[in-house]
Amino acid sequence: MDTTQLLKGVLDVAVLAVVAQEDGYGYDVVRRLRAAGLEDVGDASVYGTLRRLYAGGSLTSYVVPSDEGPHRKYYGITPLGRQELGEQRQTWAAFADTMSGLLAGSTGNTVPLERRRRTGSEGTR
Amino acid sequence: MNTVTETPDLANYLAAVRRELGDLGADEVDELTGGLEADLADALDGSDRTPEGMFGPPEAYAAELRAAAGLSPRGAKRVPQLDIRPRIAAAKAWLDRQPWGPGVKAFGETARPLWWAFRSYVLYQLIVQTLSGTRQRAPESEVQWLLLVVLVIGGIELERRKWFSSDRFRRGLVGAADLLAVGSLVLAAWLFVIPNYSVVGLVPVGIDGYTNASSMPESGPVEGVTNGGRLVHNIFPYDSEGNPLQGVQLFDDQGRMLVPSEKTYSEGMSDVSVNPAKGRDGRDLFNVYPLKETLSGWDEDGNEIPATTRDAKASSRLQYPVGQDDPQPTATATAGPTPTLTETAEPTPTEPGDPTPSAELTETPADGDEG
Repeated sequence: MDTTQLLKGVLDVAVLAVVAQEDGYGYDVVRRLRAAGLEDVGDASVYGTLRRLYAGGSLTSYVVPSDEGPHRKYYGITPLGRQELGEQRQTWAAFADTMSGLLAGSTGNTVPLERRRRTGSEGTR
Repeated sequence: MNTVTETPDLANYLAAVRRELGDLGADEVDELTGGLEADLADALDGSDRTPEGMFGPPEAYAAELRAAAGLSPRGAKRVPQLDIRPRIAAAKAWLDRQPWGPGVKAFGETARPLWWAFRSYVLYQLIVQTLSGTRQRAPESEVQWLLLVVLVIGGIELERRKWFSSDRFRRGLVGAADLLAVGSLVLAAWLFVIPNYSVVGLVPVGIDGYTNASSMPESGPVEGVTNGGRLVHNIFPYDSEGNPLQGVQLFDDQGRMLVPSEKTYSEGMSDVSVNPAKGRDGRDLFNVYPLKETLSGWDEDGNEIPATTRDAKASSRLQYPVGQDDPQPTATATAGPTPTLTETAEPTPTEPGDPTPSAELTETPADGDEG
């Protein structure tokens, strides 16, 4: 499966989680996401997400001047961001459970159509 | 590490990205690309790839950036608008931090239907005032009641059921109604807060900012003559016989000219302006009454009428002959009934206290108890 498609839905919470651990600037967040295993994450997607979360009040930002080059824009999490992170963490856990259960239940491909349907509908509850 | 050779490349790349974002506001571009140079430089650090090789074409990079930031793609028709959502979010975050925040929020949530109903009421006022041109707070006919009820129920249901599958349409509709209602609230608050604003009672919780073209403006002293709080356009002088006078100059007790407080006003679809008289020295004199009027604008059928100057007409004939306060009333007290007097009696001057046989003279006040 194309993980970039999956990433789109969870990039917000992933970025929030990374920034919640420690404040970071754009490329730093990208690096930490990649280090955590999200190798396909695009730079620009992360930067855009940071800006959007900032505009939405989930992140704060501050500029740190640098002696060697251009200034760095750091992001930190706000109480609102923490609250959102908490909510999304729960949503994700429930969703992941559901998907895991769904996928684990369908390993045998001899399940009759009707039972498969039932499993599927139970799974999405 | 080859920062020296990289920098112009990176600067060019960034400039190209910024160009791609050119349709956004300057603030948004700054917001999107602020700190980006450092991020890209970091990413490039230690690599001999060009920015384009590393990040792809600037167009694609900019597109990804704006898509992730939740902005519309380039070329999509952007309605110029103030994006207040971040501010609202920030205000909400601030509210959450206050100890009383949750209470206020809960109250707001509970009171929301009230807002929906109010919004519908504003819409109702707009419709009724546009159609009928009348101004009243409460409906006065069954049709108006029906309209109000339908609008209120519709407004509440619109929210409750999330009508219209096209979410944008619904949001637009609701947004417009919200804006309208907020505007009218602000207007109402403004009008009510102004001290000594005598027509507050006339102001509907409504849409139009005007109360009456001839009423006092909201604040500040009024230049010129007013009458009981109303602006005066013209003055019609009459002599003691009730004959209209022309070219009457009026001054106040300190010798200042009495000029109209409103020199231009509307009369239906047309504008009327009063014209000053010309003084000998060429000055415009606005205290010479009655002032002539110039009419311009449109007639009832919507045809433009050429500007015409006319004599001002008094709205109605309210003037009456007056009795004069003379220290010797006998000679002139009968000025009014004189015509009848000449028919019935000799026009000889009468002595005070000397009753004449004429019936008409019984009306004169002198020695009335004799008759």
